[in-house]
Amino acid sequence: MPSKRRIAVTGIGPVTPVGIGIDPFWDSIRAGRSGAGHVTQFDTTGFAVNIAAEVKDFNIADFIEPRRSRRMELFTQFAFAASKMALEHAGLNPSDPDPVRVGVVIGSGVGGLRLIEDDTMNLNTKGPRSVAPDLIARMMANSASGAVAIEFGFQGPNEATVTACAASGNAMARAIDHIRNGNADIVVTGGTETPITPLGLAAFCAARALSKRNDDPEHASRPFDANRDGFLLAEGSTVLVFEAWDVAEARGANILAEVLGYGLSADAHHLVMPQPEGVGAAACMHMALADAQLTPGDVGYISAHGTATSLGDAAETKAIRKVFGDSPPPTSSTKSMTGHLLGAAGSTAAAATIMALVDQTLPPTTNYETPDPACDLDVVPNQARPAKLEAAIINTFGFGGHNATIAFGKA
Amino acid sequence: MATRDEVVTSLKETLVDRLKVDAATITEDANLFEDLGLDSIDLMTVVMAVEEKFAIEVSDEELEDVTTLGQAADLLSAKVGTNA
Repeated sequence: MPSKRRIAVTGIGPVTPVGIGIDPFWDSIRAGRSGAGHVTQFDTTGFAVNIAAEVKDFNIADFIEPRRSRRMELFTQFAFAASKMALEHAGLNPSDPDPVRVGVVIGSGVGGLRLIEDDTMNLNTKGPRSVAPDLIARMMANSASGAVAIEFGFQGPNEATVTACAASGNAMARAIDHIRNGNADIVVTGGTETPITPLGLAAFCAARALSKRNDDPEHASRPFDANRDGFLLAEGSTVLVFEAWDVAEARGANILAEVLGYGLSADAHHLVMPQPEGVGAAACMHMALADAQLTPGDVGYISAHGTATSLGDAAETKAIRKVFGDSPPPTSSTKSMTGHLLGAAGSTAAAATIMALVDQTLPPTTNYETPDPACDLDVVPNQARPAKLEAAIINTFGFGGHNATIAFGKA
Repeated sequence: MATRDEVVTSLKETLVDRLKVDAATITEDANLFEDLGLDSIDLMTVVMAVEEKFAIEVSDEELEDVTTLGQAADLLSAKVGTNA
C-alpha cells in the first residue's frame, strides 16, 4: 500500500462559549473556566431548562463588512469568523494558494433553526407571501461551507456533513480524504451550531437530554461524575486548517500538530441512545488507531465525547476499555466547560486536543466530584495536568448512531 | 393613503436595515443591481417589506422592468389604496 500523504494542522479558529480566538479559548480550557450561564437570547419562561453555554460578545461586524454578512444566519456567521481566525492563525493569506486547491468541509447538525422558527410563525400568521425570499439560502446546513468559500474564493471540494453531534468529526474525516486523495492541498474544516432557540431548547427539554441544574449553570455539565444529569446545550463553531504536510512545510508554516487518521462507524442500534456496550464506538476507535498506525499504548490522551448523559458516558467508558484494556490513557471531556456544541463539538474538542499536544498539557474534566464505578477512567479531574504527549484521539458521537474518531500527533 | 415619499422611505429603511446597503449610496436614480449591489432575492426582500407595510401585492411580471429605486417607488406607490 502506498504511504498516505501526511497532513498538518496549521490553524485553529474557535468561536465558543469559553472564548473567541485560540488564546482566550485555550486559556479558559487550561484554567477550567465554564462558559455556562442562563439563556439570554429569548425568554425561557415555561422551559424546564433555562441554562446553556452561549457565545459572549460576538459581533460579526468585527470580521466582515455588514453588507457581506446580510445573508449569513448566526451559525454561518460563527463559521465564517472561525474560518477567518483559523486562516490568520495559520498565517495563510486566502488569496495566496491556488483557489481550486483549497476545500471547505464544515458540518452542522441542523443549520439555521431560528430562521425556520421565525418564518414558520410568519407563514402561520401572515400567509405564504410573508416567507423570506432568502430563507432557503440562509437556513440550509451547507450555507456555512458555501459562504466561507464565497468570501475567501476557495474553489476546491466543498461539503457540509450532517451527522448531528458527529458532524464536525465526519467533516474532519472528509478533509483528511480530500488531502490524501489529492483533491485539495488545504481544507478548512470543522463544525458550527446554533441550537439555543425556543424550538431547539424545547425539543431537547422534551427529549429529557439536558441537565436541569438551573440554579447552578457553571456546575451543570458533569461528565463521568456519578451525579451527572444530562448535557448543557451550547452554541459556537470551531474551524481548523488542515494542510498537506509538504505544502505547509514549503511555505514555512508553523505546524501545530499532525493529523494521523480517522475512524468512522455506526452503532446501528437506536436513533438517540448509544449502544450500551459501546460496540460501535470501540469499532470507531479501533479503525482510527489502525488508520493512524498507532497502538493503544501510543495514545497518551483521549478527548471523550463525554456529554454527561447517564447512558452515554458509561457506554463510552466501556468502549474505551474494549480498545485500551486495563490501563486506558487519561480521558477528559471539555464539555464540562464548553457545554455541548453538537455539530461543532468534535472540532472544538480537536482544538483543545491539538493545543494539549502543543502545550503538553491535558485539559481537565471540571465539576468532577463523585466517581461513578460505571465510568472508571482517569478523567483528569478538575485541574489541567502537564503530560508528555505524543498522540491523542478525539471521540465525537451523534444522534442517529454516528461515531467519529480523529487521531492527532505531536508536530 | 400613503404618499410616494412614504414608500421611498420604507424602501430605504429595508435597504439599510435589512440589506446593509450604505445609506449614502442610495438615490432614486441608482441602479439597484449595478450601483447598490442587489440581487433578485434582495429585490424581493425589499418589495415584500413594502407590500406588507402598505398591504399591497406586486406580481413578478410587474417587477421585471424595475431597475432603479425610483421605478420601484412608482410601481409600489401606484398600488397603494388600489388593491389592498
